[in-house]
Amino acid sequence: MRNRLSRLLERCLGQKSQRQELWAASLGCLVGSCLIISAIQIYSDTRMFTDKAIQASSFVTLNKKIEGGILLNLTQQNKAFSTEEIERVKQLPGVVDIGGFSRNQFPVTVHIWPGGKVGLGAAARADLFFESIPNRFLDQLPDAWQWDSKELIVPIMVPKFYLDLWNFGLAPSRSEYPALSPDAASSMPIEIFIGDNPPTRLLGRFVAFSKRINSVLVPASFLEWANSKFGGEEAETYFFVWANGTIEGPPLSFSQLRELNKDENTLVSPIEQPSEKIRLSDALKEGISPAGPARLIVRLENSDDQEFFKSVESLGYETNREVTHQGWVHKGANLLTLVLTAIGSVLSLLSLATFSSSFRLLVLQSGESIRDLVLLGFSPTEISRIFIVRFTAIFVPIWAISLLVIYMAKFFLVKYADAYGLFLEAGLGWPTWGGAFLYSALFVWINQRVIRGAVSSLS
Amino acid sequence: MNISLQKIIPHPLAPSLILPSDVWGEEVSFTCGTSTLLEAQSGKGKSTLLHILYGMRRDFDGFCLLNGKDISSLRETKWQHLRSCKVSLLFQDLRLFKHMSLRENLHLVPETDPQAPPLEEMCERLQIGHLLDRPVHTLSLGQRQRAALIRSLTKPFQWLFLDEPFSHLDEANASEAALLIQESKERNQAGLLLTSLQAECPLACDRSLQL
Repeated sequence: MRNRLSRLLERCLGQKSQRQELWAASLGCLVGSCLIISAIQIYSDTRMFTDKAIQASSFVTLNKKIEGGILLNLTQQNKAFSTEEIERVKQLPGVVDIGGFSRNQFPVTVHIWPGGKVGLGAAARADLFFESIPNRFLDQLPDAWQWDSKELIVPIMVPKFYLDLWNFGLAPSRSEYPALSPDAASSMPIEIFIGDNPPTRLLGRFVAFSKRINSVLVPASFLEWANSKFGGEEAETYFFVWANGTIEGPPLSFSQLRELNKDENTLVSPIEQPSEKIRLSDALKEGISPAGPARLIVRLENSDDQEFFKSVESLGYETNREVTHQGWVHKGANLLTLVLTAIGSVLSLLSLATFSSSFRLLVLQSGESIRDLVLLGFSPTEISRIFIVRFTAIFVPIWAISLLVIYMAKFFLVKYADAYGLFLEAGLGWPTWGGAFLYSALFVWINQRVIRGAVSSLS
Repeated sequence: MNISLQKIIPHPLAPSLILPSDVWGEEVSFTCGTSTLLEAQSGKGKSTLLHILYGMRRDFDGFCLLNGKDISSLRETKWQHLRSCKVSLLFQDLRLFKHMSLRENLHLVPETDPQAPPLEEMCERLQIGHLLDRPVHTLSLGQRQRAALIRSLTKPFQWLFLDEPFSHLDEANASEAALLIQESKERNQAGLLLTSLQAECPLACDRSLQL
C-alpha cells in the first residue's frame, strides 16, 4: 500500500526535471569526488613513503670533504675523525647518537656467483671494501648477522639500491647476469678474497639490503677478526716528526713511531693535519688509532634540522643530503595534495551548489502539486523523501564510479611503481574510505537539508 | 469534535460587504454529526470560511475553536494529522492532478476509509466509472467535480467540508452525489458543512445559515 502510494507520489512530482543542470551537476560532482578521493589517497601514500624515508633519513652519515688533486690525495692516506672531532660532532645541536664506521685494513676482492653455485656460469668480480657500524644503527638485524671465527659464511649487508643497480643497470646489459629478487640475491654464493700473495678465500652471503646505510657492511666481530689477522701497515696513518721547528725526515707510520728512539717530548703531527702537533709520548699513550673512523653515522632528533647541517658545513664536513631531498619530496607531496584538495573542493562545492539549486528549482517547480498534497494531508517529510530518493539515485552511482575510478588508477599505479622497484600498498587505504564516506555523508546531508527546506517553505 | 466560531471577521472581506451575517462577527457552534448549509451569494466568503476551518488561512480576527482549542495555535504536524484522517475538504477549484489518471488521483490520499465503498462503485454511481484510466485533463468540469467529490469521500473524516459540490452537476448526478454524501456522513457519524449559492440544495441539511 505504502509502496503504491510512494509510486503515485513519485509520479505526481516527477513531471518537471532540470536535465541539463543535473547533467552538469553530476559531471562536476564526478570530477570533484574523484579529485577529493584521489587527494586523500595520494596524501596517504606519500605519507607512508615520506614517513619511512624520514625515519631512514634521520640517520645521517658524515665524512670530511675530499678535495685537491690526485697527487695530494695520494699523500693523505685517510680523512679519519679524531676523538676530539667526534666529540665536537656529538655536541652539535639535534644529535641523539653517534657511531663510527670501522673499515677493512686489507684489500678485498669478491666474486659473486649469480648462478647460485660457485663455478656455475659467470661471476661478477669487484674490488670492494667492508665497513661495520654498531648494531644499534642498523635498520634491520637479521639472525645471520651474528658472526664468530667458527662461522664459515661471512654475512654481508649492502644498500638496497645496489640490488636496484644490478637489476636495472647491470642485468639488462649483460645476458649472463639475471635480474634478482632480494631472496634470490640472498642465496648467491660470494667468494671473498682477502690480501695478496696468495689471497685468503672466504665465503660470504648477502643477508639483508639496507635502505639506511650506504655502505657494504659486515658484522663488527668479523671486521675486528679480519683486521687483526689480515690488516697491514699500508692502511695506517703517517706522521711527521718535528725537530727544531721543522719536519725531520719522511713521514713515519704508527708502527714505525713506536720503534722510534726519540725523546718523549719530540713533537709529531698527523700527515693530514701538520699543524696539530702533539708530544710523541701522548700520541703513543692515547694510541691514536691508525684508522680512526673516516665516516660517522649520526642519529638526529629532527631529520630536517637545518642548524645541524649548517654547523656541519661550517666544520668542513659533508653529509649525505638525502634528508633535505626527502624534505623536498615531502613538501612537494603536501603541495600536490593541497592543490588536488583545493581543486577538488572547489569543484565539489560548485557541483554541490548546482545540485542543491537544481533540486531546489525542481521542488519549486512542483510547488503547486506539493501544496495540494500537503492540503490532502501528506506530510512534508513524505514529500521530501521523493526528492531525496531521486537525488540519492543520481549521487550514489556518481560516488561509486569515483571510488571505482580511483581504485583502478591505484591498481595501475601500483603495477607501474612496482616496475620501478617502489612498493605501494594495493587498494585504497582506510583514510580514503573514511574520507569518501564522510564526503558523501556531507554531500547527502546538505542536499537533504536544502530539499526539506524547499518543501517546508511551500507547505 | 465540535467547532466554535467567535466573532470571526476575515481580513480580505470588508465588513460592510459581509455584514449582517449569521456567521461573520457572530458566535456560532457546529456539532459533530450535524449538517449545515452555508448559503450566500458570490463574494460573501463561503470558501474563505471553509479555508479558515481547514487551516489554509490565518488572516482573520476573532477565534475559531476546535474542541475548545484555538486553531491558530495548532502546529503543522497537527494540521497534517487532521487533514489526513479527521477533516476532508472538497475544494471549489477541485485541485486534481491533471497529468495523472482519474484512478491515480482517487488513490492519491494519505489515508483511506476502510468502510468506504470501492472506488469503482462510487464512480459507477456518479457515471464516471468508464473514465477511471483517462487523464484528468481530458475530463469535463462536471466529471472532474464528481471525481474530486469521490476523493474527499474516500478519506476517513469526522468533519466533511464541501465547497459548492453540485455547482457543475446536472440534476440526476447532483441527486446521486447528495445520496453518496449522506451515506458517507452517516457511516462516519461526521459533521457536514456545505456551501451553496442557492437555497435549493439537493441535500437536506439540519440547518441553514446565511453568510
